[in-house]
Amino acid sequence: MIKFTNVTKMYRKGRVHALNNVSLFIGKGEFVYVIGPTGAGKSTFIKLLYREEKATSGTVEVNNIKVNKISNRKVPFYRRHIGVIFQDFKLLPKKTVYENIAFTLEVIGKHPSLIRKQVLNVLQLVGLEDKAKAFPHELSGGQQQRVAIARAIINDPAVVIADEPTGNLDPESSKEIMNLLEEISRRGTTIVMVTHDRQMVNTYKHRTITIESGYISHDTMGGGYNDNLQTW
Amino acid sequence: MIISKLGRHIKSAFVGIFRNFWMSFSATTAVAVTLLLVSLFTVLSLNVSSFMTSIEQNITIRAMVDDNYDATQIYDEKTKKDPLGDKLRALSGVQTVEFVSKEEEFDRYVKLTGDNASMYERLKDKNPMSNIYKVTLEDGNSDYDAVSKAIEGIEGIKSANYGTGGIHRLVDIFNQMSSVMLFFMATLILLAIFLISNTIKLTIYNRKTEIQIMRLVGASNGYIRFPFILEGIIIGVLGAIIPAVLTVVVYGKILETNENGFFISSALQFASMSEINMVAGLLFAIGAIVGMIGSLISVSRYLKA
Ligand SMILES: Nc1ncnc2c1ncn2[C@@H]1O[C@H](COP(=O)(O)OP(=O)(O)O)[C@@H](O)[C@H]1O
Ligand SMILES: [Mg+2]
Repeated sequence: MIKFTNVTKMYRKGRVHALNNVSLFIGKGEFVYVIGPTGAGKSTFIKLLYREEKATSGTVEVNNIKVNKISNRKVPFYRRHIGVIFQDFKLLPKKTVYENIAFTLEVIGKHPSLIRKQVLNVLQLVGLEDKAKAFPHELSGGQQQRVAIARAIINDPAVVIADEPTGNLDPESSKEIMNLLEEISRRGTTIVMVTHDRQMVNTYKHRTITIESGYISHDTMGGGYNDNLQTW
Repeated sequence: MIISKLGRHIKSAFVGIFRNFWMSFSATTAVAVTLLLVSLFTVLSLNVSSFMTSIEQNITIRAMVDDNYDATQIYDEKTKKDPLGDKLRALSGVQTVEFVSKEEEFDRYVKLTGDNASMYERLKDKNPMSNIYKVTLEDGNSDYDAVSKAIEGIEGIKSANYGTGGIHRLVDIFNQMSSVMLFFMATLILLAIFLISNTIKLTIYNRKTEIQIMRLVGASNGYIRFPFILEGIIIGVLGAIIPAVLTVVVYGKILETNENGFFISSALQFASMSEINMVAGLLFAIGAIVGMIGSLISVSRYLKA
């Protein structure tokens, strides 16, 4: 459950308005695309969700937690219930696939004996059980993104948010990632995905929220890109 | 499990230290120089106060008898008569009075200057020493000046002194130096903290991605900060090793060499070796604290949540 109420986000002491008075509701288990031109405020929207940024005004709620009320000290504990995926994967180059995922559990103090089992499970889920010992540079882009997804979902988060997760991938790999995200969605996880990929939005139909200049300009159920409204 | 985790953190701290070798090296050197000064200062002041204590406890006033004074008035070995000594005993504040003949004084002097036989032969017949009375004061009385003056007022006494001029000058010099030394120490400690915080800043910079990812997956601030604070502490402790070892070894040598009153009369009590070992421990503690402060500065500035 995600709820924005009159959310405004300004940067640089009000000189940049990234989001203006945005209100929306995303139900539990929904799969939602966020689209729009570069600089529209999509990443800002995502950052408010995982509390990388704080709303200037309005309230952001995730699972009934008022995210902008969370103190800096408590942010890490909030993050443990949110999975985040990026265009550039953000894997540690000197750690193996296994270590990259186990790291997530180590830093939150999980017992090593539990870590092993959980990591192997999630590797199987993303179809990389045979790559556990590989290093990120030995994998294709699509495989690296699957490692990142494995890392994002290992704590069984209620919400997975993805900022252009297929932005760096070829169409074939993009499809694999989409299939994986849809499978995660089917297990009841809410998914918010920023994308530029028109093809994908039209193929895998889901609710689509369009942001332009910091405002929500369209919010269509399973509508995909509306070509009549394309201005970018 | 905790142990293996700590081991991993220590290992990664050393990796950080070696990755910025010259930064770490200069920070460690600054800590070492600072702690050498701290050690010098502490050891000196320990000894000065130890000297002061032994002065107060053991000082004897040496009252020299006028060479032309009536020999029948001074202590006589056979009759045990001692009119001059009795006058001294009658002074207020005096505890004991002991006569030392000029021959005994001469022997002591020759011994002190190294058993030089030829000098002995040369001077034996014209002994330059005087007969003296050694006067000690009652417990708790440390007004040597007043008693010496009173002794000098007695007829037959040429002069009285308590031979601490040197020590008192030492104390004066030390007191004058100590404010300068404290100033230098403070400056050096600030420099060391600055260099450590810069080293840690570099390490933080080198591990930006890792930190960002730790943030992302929900590592607590404490968990993220710990390795950097550990690295600062390790730099501080590494910087303490050389000063601590030098302090213990050099001071041990000085004590050994001075066993027979080589530098300063053995009547003066030096600060003991166990006190110096504590100074060495103190150096490690200061190193660790300086390292911790240095890294905390960078950690709080560059690892804002
Ligand atoms: N940290 C920041 N400081 C200042 N301006 C920012 C910052 N982050 C984003 N912006 C500005 O806010 C607006 C929205 O950015 P962003 O949310 O990244 O857009 P999008 O992801 O849709 O391309 C842009 O004008 C961008 O320049
Ligand atoms: Mg963006």
